[in-house]
Amino acid sequence: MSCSETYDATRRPPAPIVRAELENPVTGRKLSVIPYLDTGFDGTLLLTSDLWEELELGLVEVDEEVYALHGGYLPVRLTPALARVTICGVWHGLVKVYLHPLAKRTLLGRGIANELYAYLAGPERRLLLSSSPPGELHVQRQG
Amino acid sequence: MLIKMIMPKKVLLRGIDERLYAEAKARAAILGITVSEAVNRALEVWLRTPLTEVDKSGNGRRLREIAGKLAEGRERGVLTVANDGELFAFFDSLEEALEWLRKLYSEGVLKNSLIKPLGRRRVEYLEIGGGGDELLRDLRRD
Repeated sequence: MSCSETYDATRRPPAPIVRAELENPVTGRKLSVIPYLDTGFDGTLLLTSDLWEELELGLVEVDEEVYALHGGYLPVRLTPALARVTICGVWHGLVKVYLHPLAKRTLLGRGIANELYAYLAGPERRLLLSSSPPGELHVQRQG
Repeated sequence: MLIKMIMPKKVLLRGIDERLYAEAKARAAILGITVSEAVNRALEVWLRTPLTEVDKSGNGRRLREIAGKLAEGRERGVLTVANDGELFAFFDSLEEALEWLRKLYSEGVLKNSLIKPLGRRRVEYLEIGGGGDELLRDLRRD
C-alpha cells in the first residue's frame, strides 16, 4: 500500500505533511490531523492541547516521565497517552503519543516514520509513503 | 473613519502570594517588561494549557499519588486507576487495561483514569530536531 501527499506550500521552504487519523482507544472518538513529517523528532506524534482535549486523551494518559528537548536543550515536560494511529492508510498501530503544552503544530517523528518507506520528491513538493519497498528508485551515486 | 480603542482593564486582586509577586516583579525587571505584561503572559500560557494538565495540581495529582501507593512493591504489569482512585485493577498488558477502561466508559461510569506501567521508572528524553519551530506556527508563514 502507498500514498502520496503534497507539501505544505505555505511554509518557507515548503514542508512535507502527512494525513493521520487518531482514535481514542477507550472512547472510540476519531480525529483527522495533518502533522509535519519531522525526521528530527525522536517520538511518534506530538500533539497540541486543542487536539488532546478534543480526543479526551486525558482518559488514556500514561504515568511516565517524558521530556522534549528543543535543539538539544530546553527540556519541556510532555504528557504521554495511548492512541490508535493510522498514517495515510498505509500504517496503523497503538502507540504512545505526546502532548506538548506549548506546541502549536503537530509533528510526526521517527517513532512512526521508521516503520514506513518514505520518499521525498522535493522538486515536485510530494511525499510518497509506502508500507513496502518502492519498486524502483533512481539513485545516482558519486564516484 | 471610526477608530476603536481598547483600553487595558484595571483589576484589583486580593490574596496574591507575596513571594510569587516578588519573584514575578524581579523577573519582569530582568526582561524589561511591566508586571502587568508578565501577568498577561502567564495567564495566556495558563489558558492555553489543557484542563487535564491544569488539573494535575488537583485531581490529577491525587490520582498519581493513589497510583503510586497502589503500585508499591509491584514490579510487573500495568496498574490502571479510575474515578479518583475509587476503582483500580492490575493487568498483564496495556491492551487488557484499555479493555477494562472501555467497559467502564461504555457503562457511563468513567470520570478520570491513569495508566501506570509498573517496574523501574525511567525518564525519557525526546529530541525535537526543529528546535522551537513547532512552537511558533504563524511566524514562519507568509
